[in-house]
Amino acid sequence: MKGRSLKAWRPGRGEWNRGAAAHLLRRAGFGASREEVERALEAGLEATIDDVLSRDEHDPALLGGARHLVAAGNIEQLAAWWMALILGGGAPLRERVTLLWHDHFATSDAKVDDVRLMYRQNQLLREHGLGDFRQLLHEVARDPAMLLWLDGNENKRGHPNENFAREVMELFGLGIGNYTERDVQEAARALTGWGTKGRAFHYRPAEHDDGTKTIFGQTGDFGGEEAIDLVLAHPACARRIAARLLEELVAPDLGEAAIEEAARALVDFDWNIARTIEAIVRSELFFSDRARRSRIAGPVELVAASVRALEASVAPADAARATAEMGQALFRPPSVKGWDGGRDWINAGTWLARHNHLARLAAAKGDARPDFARAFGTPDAARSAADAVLTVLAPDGCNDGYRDAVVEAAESCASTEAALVLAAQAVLTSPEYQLT
Amino acid sequence: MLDRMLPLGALVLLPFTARLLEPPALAQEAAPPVPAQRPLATLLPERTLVAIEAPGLAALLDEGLEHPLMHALAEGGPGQLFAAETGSTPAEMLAAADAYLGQPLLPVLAELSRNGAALGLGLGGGELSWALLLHAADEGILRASLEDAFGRLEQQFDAPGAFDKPHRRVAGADVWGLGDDVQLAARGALFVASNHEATLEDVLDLAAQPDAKGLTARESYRDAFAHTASAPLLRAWVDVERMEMLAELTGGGGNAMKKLRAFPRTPEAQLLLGPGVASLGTADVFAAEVDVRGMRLDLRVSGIGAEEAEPLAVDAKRALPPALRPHDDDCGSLLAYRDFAAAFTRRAELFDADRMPGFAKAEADLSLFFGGADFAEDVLPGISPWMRVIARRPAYDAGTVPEIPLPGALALLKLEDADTMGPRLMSAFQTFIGAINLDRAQKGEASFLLALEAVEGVQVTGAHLPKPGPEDGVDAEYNLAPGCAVVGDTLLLATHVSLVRDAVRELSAGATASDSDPVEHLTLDGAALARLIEDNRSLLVMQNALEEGNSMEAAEAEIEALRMLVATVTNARMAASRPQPDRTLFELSLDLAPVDAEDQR
Amino acid sequence: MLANRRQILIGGARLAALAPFYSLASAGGGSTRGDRVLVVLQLTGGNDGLNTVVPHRQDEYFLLRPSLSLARGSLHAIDDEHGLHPELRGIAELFNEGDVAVVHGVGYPNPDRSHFRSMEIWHTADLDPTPDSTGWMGRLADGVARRAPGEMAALHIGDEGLPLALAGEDYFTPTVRDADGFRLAGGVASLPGVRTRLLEGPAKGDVAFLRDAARSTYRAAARMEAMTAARTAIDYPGTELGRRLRLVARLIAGSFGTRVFHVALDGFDTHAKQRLVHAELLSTVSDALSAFQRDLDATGAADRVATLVFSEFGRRARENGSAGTDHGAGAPLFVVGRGVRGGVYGTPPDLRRLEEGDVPATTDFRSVYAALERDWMDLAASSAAHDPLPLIG
Repeated sequence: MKGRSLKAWRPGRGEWNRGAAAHLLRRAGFGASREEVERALEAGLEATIDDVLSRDEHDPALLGGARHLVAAGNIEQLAAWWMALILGGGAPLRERVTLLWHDHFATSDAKVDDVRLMYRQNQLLREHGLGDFRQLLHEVARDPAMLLWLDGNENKRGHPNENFAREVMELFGLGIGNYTERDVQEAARALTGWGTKGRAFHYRPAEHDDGTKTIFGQTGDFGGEEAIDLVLAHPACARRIAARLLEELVAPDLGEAAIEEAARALVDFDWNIARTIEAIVRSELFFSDRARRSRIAGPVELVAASVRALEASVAPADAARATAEMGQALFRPPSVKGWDGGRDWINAGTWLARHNHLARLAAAKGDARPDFARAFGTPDAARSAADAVLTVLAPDGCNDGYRDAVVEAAESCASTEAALVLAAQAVLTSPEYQLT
Repeated sequence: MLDRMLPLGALVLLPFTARLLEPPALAQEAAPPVPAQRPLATLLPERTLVAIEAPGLAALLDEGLEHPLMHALAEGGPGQLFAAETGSTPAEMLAAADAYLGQPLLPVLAELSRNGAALGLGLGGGELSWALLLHAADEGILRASLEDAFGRLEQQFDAPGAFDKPHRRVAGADVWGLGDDVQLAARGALFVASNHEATLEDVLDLAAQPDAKGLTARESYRDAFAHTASAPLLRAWVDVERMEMLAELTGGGGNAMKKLRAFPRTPEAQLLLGPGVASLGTADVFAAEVDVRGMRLDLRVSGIGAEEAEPLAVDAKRALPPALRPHDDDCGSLLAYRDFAAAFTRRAELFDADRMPGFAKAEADLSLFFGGADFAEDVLPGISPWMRVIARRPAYDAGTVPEIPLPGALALLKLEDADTMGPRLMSAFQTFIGAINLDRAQKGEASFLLALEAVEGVQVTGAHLPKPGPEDGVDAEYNLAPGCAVVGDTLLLATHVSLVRDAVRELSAGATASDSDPVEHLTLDGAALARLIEDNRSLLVMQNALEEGNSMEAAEAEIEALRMLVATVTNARMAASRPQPDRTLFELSLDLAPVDAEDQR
Repeated sequence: MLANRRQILIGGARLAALAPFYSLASAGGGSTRGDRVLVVLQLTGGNDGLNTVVPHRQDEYFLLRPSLSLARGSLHAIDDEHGLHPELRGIAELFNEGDVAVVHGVGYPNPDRSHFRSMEIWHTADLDPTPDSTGWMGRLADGVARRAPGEMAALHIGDEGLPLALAGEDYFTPTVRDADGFRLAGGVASLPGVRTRLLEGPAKGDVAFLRDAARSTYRAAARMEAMTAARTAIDYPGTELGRRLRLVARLIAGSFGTRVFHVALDGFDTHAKQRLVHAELLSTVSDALSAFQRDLDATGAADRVATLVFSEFGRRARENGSAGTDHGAGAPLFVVGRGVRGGVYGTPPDLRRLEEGDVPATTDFRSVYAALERDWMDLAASSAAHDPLPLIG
């Protein structure tokens, strides 16, 4: 099968086009405006990937601003702040992986009920999200929000609580089928004594079970650190993390061969996430048809990409509320499994929310201020308005029926301004646009 | 764009067609001038609903931005806010206007309104009609200004000569029409503009009769301003009763108006707004005056015919809680009268039946804290309806200064039977803390620790959260370290026990401050409020950026403008009283900071 | 409505293959199990059962409740020994018409007196719920959705968060705040035309799935708007509960397709001075429910609607020192509807045999659920261990 390989992509004539550039900027970030796509086309594939990998500079005032918010104790404000970082575009790839790890190590404020701790975890994911996965997992295991979320304080000698030990195997590290119940129980014992005091990590030696444990067939008087090292040393771990990266960046269900290859890359790169991502986004697989528009976009991706494409100024708090209505409330994933994603994003209520939010965004309702001149240029007729909208919002192209419908709708409008609004609303609320 | 041009085009064309239809030559009989001292209210028709006069406008315009208060407004916070919104400061706008006119705007306006300016609003042909009157220093300046304005119009719409001659004459005045929208008239030094022909003609007729009384024929108008001495900057008179009558005739708006008028008579409104402000809403006529003296701006609104807010009205016999001496950290203070005891005991007659469950629930819940004593019967009547609340920046213990510091509030209440009520309220306070702790414990949060101490021999009960750990941060809940004490027959209740301690010391020393008039009032200290904004600047900027979608720089600018706006007001005082049986007086005084004293950031 | 259905049927042959979202099965009149509706009215906070269904023949009742007991003469008798609270006038009328089942002493073993925990137990029908537990109504909704894909199987009417009871495996229950809560917004006037066109033509995979979702959502929004705009023959009380039940009745009358509704009324946690508060709450429930039932009668839908009225626990038999009552255990509940076998079920409370001061649970709530799940909705019961009460039939 063509393109199913992580070997580097050497685009042929015309292959480095709008569709390819937009795909890269959507997956390794949160979408792009017309201008950004055009800049990428001009700069070429290599330079654009270099830029994607290196653009890592948030507005310090914004990044640091959360310090002041957390004292107010309102999780929705923290979600708005994160949304502002995502929309601000200072470090698209870093925010992309922060969201990925938030979904992977899904922790909800619904139980943690502490905005400061949710913020600290978010910063942790941001700081280590592109670094060494082994360090990331170790940090997450000691993270107070995680300890509260998965009952670390209840995990005591003689009364082990398996919550974290189970998830570190089932969800965070290995996946079902790669461990036994016994492994979970023994790892829980190794992690006893890990808890919180106030808002800090706190180890209680008196509550630690220092007896001998057997995990994955290895025996020793393991502590928490060793238990996590054993998970990391398990061959399933690199595969699970590689699969997760491929699913997020390329496409779901790519098959074992691709996962194996990515897992090897992860280990070869000494578990460095950024370098693994680089290998993935430079690959033929990444740019293959198999990858393009291959999954239903999550609400945060959808809203961020739409705001960028329309060059809109929006209130981040509104955007965060919109994603919550669409089923993705930041800092409140539905369970430790994270968001189910895919077709589970869609039901009558969330479709209504997608429709209403995107239609309002394009019509400049509420606080949303799209900049149509920057987004689409200044077309002089309805037909060119429709073309401009399709070029930006459907860069991979569309079939004739779709194009005709949008063009005819635009031509029914009294002005080119109205044509832009209608065409944008039509495309944004169409099923095809929901795919990323 | 095109449809916005059309009415302007019509505006210019219409006078043309009018001129073609009418004989151009008009008899030019000399009209006797309107005397300079004649009050402009005598030129407003009797049926006027709202009259605004500006006797002191010319004097203020003479000083222009040199006037200290105007200077403070233009250069201080309000001007900054204006600049943030529009992109240029008031001074720049004025300079641009001067340049456009080719002469300074404010002095011309001063001359044009030298002998008064007035605006009358009423109903004309079922629509809102307005009439603007300017009584200029002399006919010359008026004619010159008109000529200049007409010239610009002619040039702008490429219609030379359109205004060369008046389009008609009415009662000795020259009248020009700007399309159907507006008619202008000049008679001697008097200028009149209106959107309604009949109204304009009525004004001109009144101007032609030296003895006509106009609006001053109305007793309620004369009565409204009978006591005022000097010429204030602005004077406004509103005939609410007749507006209500007219609204009823027009149907649709009648209901809304009726509801609006009925609201202040409800006990809900009286409890919410206080008996004073609520009774203001029942007035038949509003008479308002705005005056500027030095850096002070005064607004007095008299509600004439305002009803007493029975039965929750201020009872002068009830005891006032003592006042405390003003403190540098005070953000404001409030003296309010809320007769909850009467509201509770007479609820069946005062409130709708569907409010009863709410009362029952409140009573039930509150009674929980009083160990079986009935809240409505045993507790509320023992507390005087006068309450004094002081908002003050509190002192915090080391390590517990909240990252979001809010002002504390101290309430002073007079107890009628302090021997019984004192212990009862003190123990209710402890029960209340216990109940909060129960709730917090269920959520796994730290409990408030109770602490009893003696200050000047008075027992002070306080509660505070344990000191947070070094990595824990100081949450907003550290703004609460409540305290309670009874000094003599005064109950002290505060969000911070430190405020209670200070008050106990002050009251025990026996010296109370003077402010003891039984008048509901609220004072605010702009400088202290500005400090509060300063203390929370980073948070406010962040919230502004996230909620409004502003960039961080724009959010910074907006919060700074807000801070400056607040800082402009050194002192604001609002008071509501009933100086006469049939009227309620609402007073607002603002003392503005001279802009130079304002720290320019 | 007819025209719509015909259009769907005409296009059906093609659509049926492509569009699992469309329901083609819901046509046909009469009360079959396929169109029965379950409404759950939750009394949040712990309703005082002893003052709802009053055991007025037991002297202990008056001794335990010196200030809260209700006078015999003021009650609405349901049998020789029990009467309904004076404010339950409307429910008493329905009872006399044979449409109310009163079940005594409903609860579960080892009662938990935490509001949160007890509500979780009622919502999941699981005595030891875990974070993964689904809600009993969510499971019903899953079952309904499997049979009639494309319909909105369940709706939560209210402004609180989605109740755990509605958490299912597959079907996600939308929350509708009020009659305006589910409406297409923000589009310009000509959007609907092009929107419809963009849903046409061949499609497969995710695009086909999304088109189905879009079509069924637009259809639901349009139908809900039309239905809620229709006038009702019955005057509802002006309470929030009245408005919510009116919305439910509108959607049922308009054959919206939803078969599971959740509505709640909060405020039953009456620890002090409960007499007036409780009376007001019960009259709110009774008046709204009575209007709802009359409305269903008027629209001919009454045969296919059953309403369960429950609370997370009853209250302590002895009143406390604040003329209120504290958290208890077993309590009576109501099942209301023309298709319900009216009467009195279960073991009446015996105030001489309290357990830890509470009326014990003598009927497991899951046997009420089983009747509604299996006999009313024709779906699987939450627990096979509890035989359904014979409430239906």
